[in-house]
Amino acid sequence: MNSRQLALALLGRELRERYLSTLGGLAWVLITPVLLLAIYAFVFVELLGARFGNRVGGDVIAFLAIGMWPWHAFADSLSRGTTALTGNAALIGQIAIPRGWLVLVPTLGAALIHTASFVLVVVMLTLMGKTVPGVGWLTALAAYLMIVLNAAALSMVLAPLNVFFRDVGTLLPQILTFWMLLTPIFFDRSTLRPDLGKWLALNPMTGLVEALRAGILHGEAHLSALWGPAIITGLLVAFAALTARRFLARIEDFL
Amino acid sequence: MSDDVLLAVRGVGKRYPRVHRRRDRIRSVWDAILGRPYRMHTQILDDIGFTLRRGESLALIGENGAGKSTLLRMICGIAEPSSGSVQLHGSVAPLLELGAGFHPDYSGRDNIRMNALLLGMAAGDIESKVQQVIEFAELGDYIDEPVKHYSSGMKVRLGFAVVASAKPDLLITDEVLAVGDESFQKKCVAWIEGYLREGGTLLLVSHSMYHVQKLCKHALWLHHGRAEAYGDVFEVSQRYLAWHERKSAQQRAEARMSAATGDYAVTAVAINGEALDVPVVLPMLALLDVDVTVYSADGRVPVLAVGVKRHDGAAVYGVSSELEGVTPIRIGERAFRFSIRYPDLALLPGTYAVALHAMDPEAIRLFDTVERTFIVTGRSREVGLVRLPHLWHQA
Repeated sequence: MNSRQLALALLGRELRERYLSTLGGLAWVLITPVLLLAIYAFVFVELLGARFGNRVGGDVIAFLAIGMWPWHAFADSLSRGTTALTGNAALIGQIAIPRGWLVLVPTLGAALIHTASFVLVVVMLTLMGKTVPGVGWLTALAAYLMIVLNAAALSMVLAPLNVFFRDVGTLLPQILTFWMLLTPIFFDRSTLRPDLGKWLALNPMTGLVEALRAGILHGEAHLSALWGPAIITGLLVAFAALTARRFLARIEDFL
Repeated sequence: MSDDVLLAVRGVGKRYPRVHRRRDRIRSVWDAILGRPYRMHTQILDDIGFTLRRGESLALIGENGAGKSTLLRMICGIAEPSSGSVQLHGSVAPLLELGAGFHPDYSGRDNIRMNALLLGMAAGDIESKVQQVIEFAELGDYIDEPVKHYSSGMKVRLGFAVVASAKPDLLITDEVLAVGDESFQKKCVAWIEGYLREGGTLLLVSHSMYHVQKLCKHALWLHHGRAEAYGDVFEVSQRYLAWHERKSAQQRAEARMSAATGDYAVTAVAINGEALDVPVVLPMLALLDVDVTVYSADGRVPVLAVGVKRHDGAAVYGVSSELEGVTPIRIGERAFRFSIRYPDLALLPGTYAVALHAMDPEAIRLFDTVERTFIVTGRSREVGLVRLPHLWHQA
């Protein structure tokens, strides 16, 4: 089987499917971030007058945006990946299609769309003068890649588990909401009680989001924040690689 | 292994876990996670083995639920064998289910491209084949409509056309010929025959013995997940059909038993020990042994009348237990067994029937009739029904 061409065709179909039935089509990739930024500005700055540490006004939007877009990329990729096998049950029972791709294609498809959107957000923030280009952008890129990698690896573990127990897919949105609230997206960790802040460092997404902010908004390379998440990502990828083959071989028995 | 072996199936078994009860599901998942055999399982296939060389054609036959489709799914790589191995040394194109692999929202043309990729065609070759597929499938303008608007015949035409264009080493079809209309079926059969002539290899699942015998040289009969017979297609398919005939005869006999609600009824017949309603074959001048069970609602001794006639209805001989003062053996409160033997049956070769009539003890009313066919074989140029004992006086 011509693997690369098939993977690309599946990815192309996934992207088309997400926008196939919308009037705006791919324009939504551009429209959504602009709209969301405007909504954040209105709700957080105008209505709530939110402050994150000593940040006010446009800085609040920049702070939120750099936390929320990567999180959405992670959460949406993971949700789509986790339900990919149960959603394609008919296909799996009918044709010999590599099951790993059935999980990875929607995961990466979602990541691609959110990444395009995130790039646009960064461009807009740069035009607003809220970013500091520099070497920190490289660590931010590394952090972002780790987020996508984590979503893909977790999907490869959770998708077959969701075939075994559908409870996984049912519970995931609640877990993701809880996880999001434990990630410094809507708050600055430095403003918390120190002992709480330490506990939150155990969440790998904490280091990744903070490295992204430090990199993009301040041009600082927060390498130290990346070590922990890098080790966790490595372990997760290794675990997914070890178990995926065994799990995926049996999913047809449970579909 | 010889070089021309395309498919080697060795000791293949398939067990599906039991997952309906929560406890069973948890156990089965735990077994799956640890990669060990399921403790609670249903065995679908057991110890299936065969090899298919390039250019050969094998039919899988058997009842619904015998495991044919499961075996095909393992050969195609859709399902994993629980035991044994499947080795495929070439490309395979399966036509398993109606519209399998087609995305209902996409047009026929889009689906051709995706299916061609799934069948391993190179992207560069696909565009040149798309027109060919459209022509073979005879879909006309429908090709740009979403597949969900297609009729089942159109789906199978499209599926077959894509597979035909892929020219696989091994073609697998599961009952798909039954879907299309007659002219498309003929076209498919002609295509498969051409494919086989050119050295293609076929694995066919069909309930149509016509297609099985026309397209395949060998057959594997699966029965309750096990290989019942494997070999020459005519031999295996005839054994299968004979088994089927016996099975339906059994069902007819059982239906008779449960339907015997009259006062007196024939509930079981065995001709020369054959209890099923299948023609019994015996040579001329052999013994005809008729064993009959008659039900009597009031427990009184019934009368059995026995007639022998030719297949065209011409009566040969008739007699009854009442005429000859025969008392049957009581085998139950309401069941009686009659046994009548015709030694040295002098019927000339041909097809005959023995008719069994259950009557009341007074031999006045007829309550039930059962007929069983038997065939007398032999070489004889005599004419008529029966060889009468005779003596020539010669000069």
